[in-house]
Amino acid sequence: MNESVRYDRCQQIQLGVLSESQMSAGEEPPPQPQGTGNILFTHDGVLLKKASAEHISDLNTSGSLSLVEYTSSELPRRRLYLEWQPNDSIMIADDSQDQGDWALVDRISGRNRTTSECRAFNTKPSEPGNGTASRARIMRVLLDELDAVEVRHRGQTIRFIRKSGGGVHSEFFFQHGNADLFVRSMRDLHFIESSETTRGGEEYAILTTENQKLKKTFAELDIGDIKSSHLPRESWLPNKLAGFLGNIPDYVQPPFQRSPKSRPGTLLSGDRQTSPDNYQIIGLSGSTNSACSSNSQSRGGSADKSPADSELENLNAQDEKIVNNLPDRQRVERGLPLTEAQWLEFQTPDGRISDSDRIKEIVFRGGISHALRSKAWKYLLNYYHWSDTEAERIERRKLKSLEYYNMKAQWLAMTTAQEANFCGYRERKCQIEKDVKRTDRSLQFFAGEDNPNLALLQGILMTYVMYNFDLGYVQGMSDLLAPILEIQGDEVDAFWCFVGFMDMVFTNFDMDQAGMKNQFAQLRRLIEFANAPLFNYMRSHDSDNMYFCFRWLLVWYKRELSNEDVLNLWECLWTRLPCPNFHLLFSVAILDQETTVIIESQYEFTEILKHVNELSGHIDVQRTLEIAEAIYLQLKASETLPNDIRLIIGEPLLPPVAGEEAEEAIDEEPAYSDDGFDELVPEPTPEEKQRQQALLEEACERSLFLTYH
Amino acid sequence: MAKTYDYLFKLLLIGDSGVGKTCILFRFSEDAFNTTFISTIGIDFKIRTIELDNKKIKLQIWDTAGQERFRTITTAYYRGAMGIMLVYDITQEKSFENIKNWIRNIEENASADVEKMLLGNKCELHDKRQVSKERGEQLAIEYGIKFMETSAKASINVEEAFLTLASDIKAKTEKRMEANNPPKGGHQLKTLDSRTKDSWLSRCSLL
Repeated sequence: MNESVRYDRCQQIQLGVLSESQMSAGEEPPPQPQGTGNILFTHDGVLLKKASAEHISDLNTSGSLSLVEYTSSELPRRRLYLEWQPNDSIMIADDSQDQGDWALVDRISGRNRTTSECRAFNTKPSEPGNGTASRARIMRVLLDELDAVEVRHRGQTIRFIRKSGGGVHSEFFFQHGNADLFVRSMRDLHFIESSETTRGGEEYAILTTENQKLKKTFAELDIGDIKSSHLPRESWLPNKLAGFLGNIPDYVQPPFQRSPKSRPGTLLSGDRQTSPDNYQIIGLSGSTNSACSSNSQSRGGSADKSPADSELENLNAQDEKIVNNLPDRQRVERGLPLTEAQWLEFQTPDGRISDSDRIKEIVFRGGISHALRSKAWKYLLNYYHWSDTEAERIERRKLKSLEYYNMKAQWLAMTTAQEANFCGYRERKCQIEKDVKRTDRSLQFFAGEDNPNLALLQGILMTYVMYNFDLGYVQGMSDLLAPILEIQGDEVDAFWCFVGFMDMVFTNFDMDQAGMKNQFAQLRRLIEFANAPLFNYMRSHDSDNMYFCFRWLLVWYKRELSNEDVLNLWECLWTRLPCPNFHLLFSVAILDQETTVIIESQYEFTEILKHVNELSGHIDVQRTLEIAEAIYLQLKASETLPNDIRLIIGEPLLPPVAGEEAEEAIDEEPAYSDDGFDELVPEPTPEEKQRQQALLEEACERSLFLTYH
Repeated sequence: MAKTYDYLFKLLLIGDSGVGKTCILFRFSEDAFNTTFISTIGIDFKIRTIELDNKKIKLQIWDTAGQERFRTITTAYYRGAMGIMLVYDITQEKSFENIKNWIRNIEENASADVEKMLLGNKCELHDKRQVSKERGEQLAIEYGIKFMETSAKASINVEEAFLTLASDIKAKTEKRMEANNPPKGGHQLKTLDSRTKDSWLSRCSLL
């Protein structure tokens, strides 16, 4: 049976014809291989992520990856090739596709591809004059030249390892779906066999033609005349045969189902490192952050670097120049706090506040002077309305006071029996009691035994349980209330200000933590775009789940800063200026300052977590706000800012440009939503939420395995 | 960088909110006790290297937030744990009752043969005691795990508890290592890793 008929998509092709559709007219097809090409399997929408230097200009280009069998009268035996060829002019401007991010199709700053020759993607590097521009764009390698295939990142990335030297030959990212079918087809055709499972991925050995023959014999396949071109390594052949004759594993299990480090004997050349540390991703979305720009070199010390990696690293700087999307970072300066005198200027005779936009701007830039905080916070937290007259404000406060005491009376009236029969209430009450005792006790306002302010704190939290029973009380909420109570002093005012704050952050306390996970995903994406070196480092060290930012985001940096700094930061963030998710940019800005330390210290996940936790008390809030705003301005000014990031920072979305490209955009939508990390619409579907959660948990899983080093 | 230890064990502290997990950890890692309590948000860990039978053992001890709401995050950390300290508060009946829920959590999320130990903390608070020592012992027998009453505040049994748990993990590890393969100078942990058997997917349905 001819394998080609086993695939719907197979087609008989002449080599020249194959190439012509992808090339400009008049160019010659590659000289090798000879004969008729028969595509056994092909997968479209596959990005080239790594390759030898000749193909640098096609990195991140979408193309099709195929298994092609060539036969000709001159060559008595068939030859099997792996081929990748670019689709055409659609280019990918960043490297964000890995494990679930948006593919940015760059239609603006299209790079010119080089016309360097395809000297030898595969076999004969020194063969002179065998190419034209078009030829360079097809990558072709004889399967016999390859040693292994590694599948990573939920099957979305596959990497081929050379036989000679064991370096990375090439790496591909599957934009649509994943590599499962491709890998399965290779397995079914007995081109590969599972050899081992590495952390976060699976690995397959590529069988020599000799072994392929053996496998097919075992599988009772009718095969052509195959001669071996490479002798199998004695050390691993018996293992493989034993493995084959035993259970054939299910190849398409997601990698995270496998135990991470089981290595049943070294089947492959033992020196080759397969840890993610060695898994370098070439960053194309460069950062202008000078602190970060040299980071790719910090990996230079790795002794295990493959030749391919080295080549690509050398070209990194060049690449960043080409696709650098972010304009230079501007220096941003903080201002002075809003004063009571200024406030009075904004007040109309009937008590309205005239220019709330201007007030917010001043507050965003410099905060609020301490004496004015109590008043101004009521507006920022949506308790008072800017347009209220003095009389309306008094009325509102009266009504809100009544409402508060009504709710408070409800829990005060709860009898012991009621409480005993009301588990949900009892648990919330118990948790509040535990946390009130350990909230900001080092501050004068809450210090000492029998401090009446503790009772206030507890009373407000209990009343909030009655106000929003679904949310109830979750740890962290007492941290959010304490500074508000301290500033307001009054129970009712503090409660309604707290309600306003909770309205901004209630998703932090979701039962399934979906709100937190969504923020991790958004933060991850922002860092990917704004600080590619750090992102690439974290990804290659399985730390890109952002879990180490949990405390930052849950209580808005409350545990990281001094009380005065917390007040200052929060009032800035409450203005919702300059964009809705500025609190995430604050995280980006902290990490921006830690980039060099993290990368140069070669921190793994646990060390990053430790480092981040220990930043508490050492964050310069003004400087970090400046950096955060500067990064925001960089993003905003970027001409190629993708829509998902526009959504995060509240920029208007770009419409699809025109006909063909619009079609393209629609076409790619499913690929985006496949990912999970890109879930930025306000209301993701439950399936999407679930998927996203699974992805993040997987990322967490990967991180945790690093604790074993 | 040369390793300064022979083994690295990952341990986890779990139990209801407020039973004293962080204090126990602080006592063990810093030999200190802080009266200004603060609830744990997210996750943190501390390191202490101990010596057992001339082997240096680096203990990486993870401290988690106790509230149910955060379990989707914290259970992610169970899997790699080789030892788990289940902590309750002898002055809080409820925290003792909840131990069975925590055990179930472990069964669902951690390796099947993770070493476990039960700790009844705050044992210095005699006059507030709600859970007798006998009940603690009985529960431990039921689950076939070791038990100690501890006091982070008065520094009672905290050191002993961690040494006991580490020693049990070490014994188990070395036994497995001997059985499996001749020593190659490699690291113990791979052996432990590879037996993590429950699939990730089985945990996704949590909550």
